[in-house]
Amino acid sequence: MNPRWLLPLFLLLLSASLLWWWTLGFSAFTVFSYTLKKAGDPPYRVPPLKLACHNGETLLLSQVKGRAFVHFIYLNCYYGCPLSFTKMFYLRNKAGERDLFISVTVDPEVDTLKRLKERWSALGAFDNWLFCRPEDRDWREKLIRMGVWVYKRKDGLINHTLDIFLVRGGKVRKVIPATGGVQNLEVL
Amino acid sequence: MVVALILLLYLLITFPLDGFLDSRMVGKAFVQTFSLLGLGILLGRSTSFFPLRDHPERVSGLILFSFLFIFWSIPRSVDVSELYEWADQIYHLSMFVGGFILQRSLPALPKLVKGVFGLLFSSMLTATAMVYRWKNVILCSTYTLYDQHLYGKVLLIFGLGLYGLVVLWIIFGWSRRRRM
Repeated sequence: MNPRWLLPLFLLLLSASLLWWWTLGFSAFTVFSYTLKKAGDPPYRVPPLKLACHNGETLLLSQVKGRAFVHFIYLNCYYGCPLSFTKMFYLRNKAGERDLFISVTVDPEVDTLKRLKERWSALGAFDNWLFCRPEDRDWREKLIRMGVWVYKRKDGLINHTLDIFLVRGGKVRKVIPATGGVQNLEVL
Repeated sequence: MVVALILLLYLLITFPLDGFLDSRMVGKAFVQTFSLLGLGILLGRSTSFFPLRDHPERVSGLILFSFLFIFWSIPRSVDVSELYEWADQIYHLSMFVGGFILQRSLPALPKLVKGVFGLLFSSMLTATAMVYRWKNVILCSTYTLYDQHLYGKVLLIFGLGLYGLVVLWIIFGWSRRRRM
């Protein structure tokens, strides 16, 4: 073989390696999947995110007792959040009163506790379903550590992770992907 | 003179018009990408510096172009270029240099290589377009789902058109050779 062909071979190998590194082994092509993958494979630690909830309670996400299903929403969301709420309803109907359900807003500047309580009330006012807002200043960094990406556009639209996180004993035990139907929800 | 005009257009697209183009996905990922590629190709046609001497160098050029194009088509790369100004400027330069390298590599390669590369490239564009057009999940967090679908639609038309042109080029090239 002409040794000059080693140059394209080397470049091919280098390009493939760079793409492999950038996409974490060809598994994370979006910023959402990259953030989730970077957080680690379950079980991994839940960051100590301080939440203020509609019922006046304050809790640390890492110290929630029992099993909790956590998802991230904002009240003005019209894209994916309604679908995520539907999935939470499905899970709640299957789990009943045993588990805790937490909807965390990613728009704490707009979603006040009053507004969260109104939505909680409109969605059935279940005792084991909390509507909360982050209290920490560095809540975005903490969410990234949990595998949640949040980006607020200038027009107010927030693109964020829609996966549901199953939390128990301070660790994320399972991530229920946002995509797919109810077959993804057979976790109970 | 031509080189100065090309560089002026490059600066116009990457600085004063950048904010406007970046505001929509079709503006950034389609108009800006293909304008910069086109300017790179024009620069390659109007100058003679940095010639690629033999086929291994030209194939290396094609690999480099493909890498740059694929890298900046990944949704995470689009997001990063929107989030950080430095990444945006690297993206602009990559597309410009990519166009230049493509012009240096492709014309001097055998027709078979050109045809295969053309089919592969247009197929890749079409496949990418189909994902953006029909996937109902936001892939780029800096754009809306509407933006994503519109970009997919435009890219799909472009990709299919390019595929058709490559097929016609192959058929006509083959029939002309048979007549000779």
